[in-house]
Amino acid sequence: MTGIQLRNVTFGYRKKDKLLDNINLNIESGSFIGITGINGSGKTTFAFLLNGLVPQEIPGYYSGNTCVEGVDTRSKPVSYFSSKVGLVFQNPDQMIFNLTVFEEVAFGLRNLDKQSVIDRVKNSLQSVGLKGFENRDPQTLSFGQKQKLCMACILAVDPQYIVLDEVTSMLDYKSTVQLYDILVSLHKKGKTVIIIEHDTDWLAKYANRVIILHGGKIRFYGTPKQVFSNKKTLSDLGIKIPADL
Amino acid sequence: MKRSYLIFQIFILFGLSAYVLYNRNVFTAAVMSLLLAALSLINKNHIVYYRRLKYIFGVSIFVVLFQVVFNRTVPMDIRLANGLLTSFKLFSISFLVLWFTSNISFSQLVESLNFLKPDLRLLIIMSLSLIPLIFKELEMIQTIQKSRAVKFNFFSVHKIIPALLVPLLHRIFQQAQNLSLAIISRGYE
Repeated sequence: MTGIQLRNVTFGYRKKDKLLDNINLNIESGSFIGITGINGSGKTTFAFLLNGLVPQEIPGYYSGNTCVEGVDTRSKPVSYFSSKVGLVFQNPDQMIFNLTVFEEVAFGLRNLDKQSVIDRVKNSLQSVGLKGFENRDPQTLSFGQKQKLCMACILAVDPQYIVLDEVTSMLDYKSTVQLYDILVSLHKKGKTVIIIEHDTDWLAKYANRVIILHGGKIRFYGTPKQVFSNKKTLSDLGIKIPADL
Repeated sequence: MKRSYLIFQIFILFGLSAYVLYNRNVFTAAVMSLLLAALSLINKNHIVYYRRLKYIFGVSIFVVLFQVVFNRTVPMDIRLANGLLTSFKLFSISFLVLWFTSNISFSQLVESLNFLKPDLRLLIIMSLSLIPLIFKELEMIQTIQKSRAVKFNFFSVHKIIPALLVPLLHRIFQQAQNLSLAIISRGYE
């Protein structure tokens, strides 16, 4: 079975406060999905569901099933799902801790032989435009470069699903365009891209499915055209209507 | 720089630090401080040394005054000697650490720890790599609080501590939590 399936997933730190409420969704392999919603709507928690961080590392009241390629995220450790679902965090400083760019990218490749690690690191750095940065201290990179480095870290592992949690929220326009170019090329190679984004213009342009989360529930799901045609409701929910539909 | 030379330097640092800490003689402590100050002149970064150590001068004077004013159970000459000894020790240790950190980069320091188990090495790398981030955050919080009209001087310590420490601790714990989630999500068990 391919794709990610969520069946009646409910999660909250306390039983009464539900961060995610009865989520039912089928994420097909190879799709480009955009998720948006106001602050506190459950977007990041949703992202943490997809590789098993919720409920394994972030405990709370969890019910339902999340299956990645048919495997329940509770049945195996997070390390098992990390090779299938790559998660890029909003702030790259939260991911980067190694001394060189090479070591940072190679961190997730501990089980491979030395030559494979070198090849994968080089390829992933090249695909994000950081070729030649191998020996640089990651802390000396610009914010945009750090974000690309985080992308390279995930790409080196070669997961089928790439989940990005508001990665463009602190990037300038040029860096955002570059990042989306990378995502589009990955999507063309057959990867599943799931991006959490506040700027709906990007979602309208690139995503082939859009999810609107509100109060932990999926309020809308469909193509950008279908979803963003509900202008009145979306405005009431505090969602920006994209300029070009 | 060779690893053996690095380890040699670490041993020298620990050896001299141990000597400074266990020394009970004011005269030798003063000689040690002066010797280290003279040695720092050889280093081309000695201006940076003095810029960083200016705070230590203030703290040293405070330590001497504290001993003289509050330690009234012993005679005045011993109070003064105790204050001076502590100040010289503080000064020497600060000099040694500055000397060491200005000659060895962070990556070289970690490289010298290769003999440790991978898990322990990772733990040390993560802890050490968080230190510059903490200072960066502290600087940022200081700027933010200054823009909110918090004055940073000696007489407003009671206001500075919550204004700096509360947001700093919050950010550090948040950062640590997010870092651990990021590492787990990258397949580390």
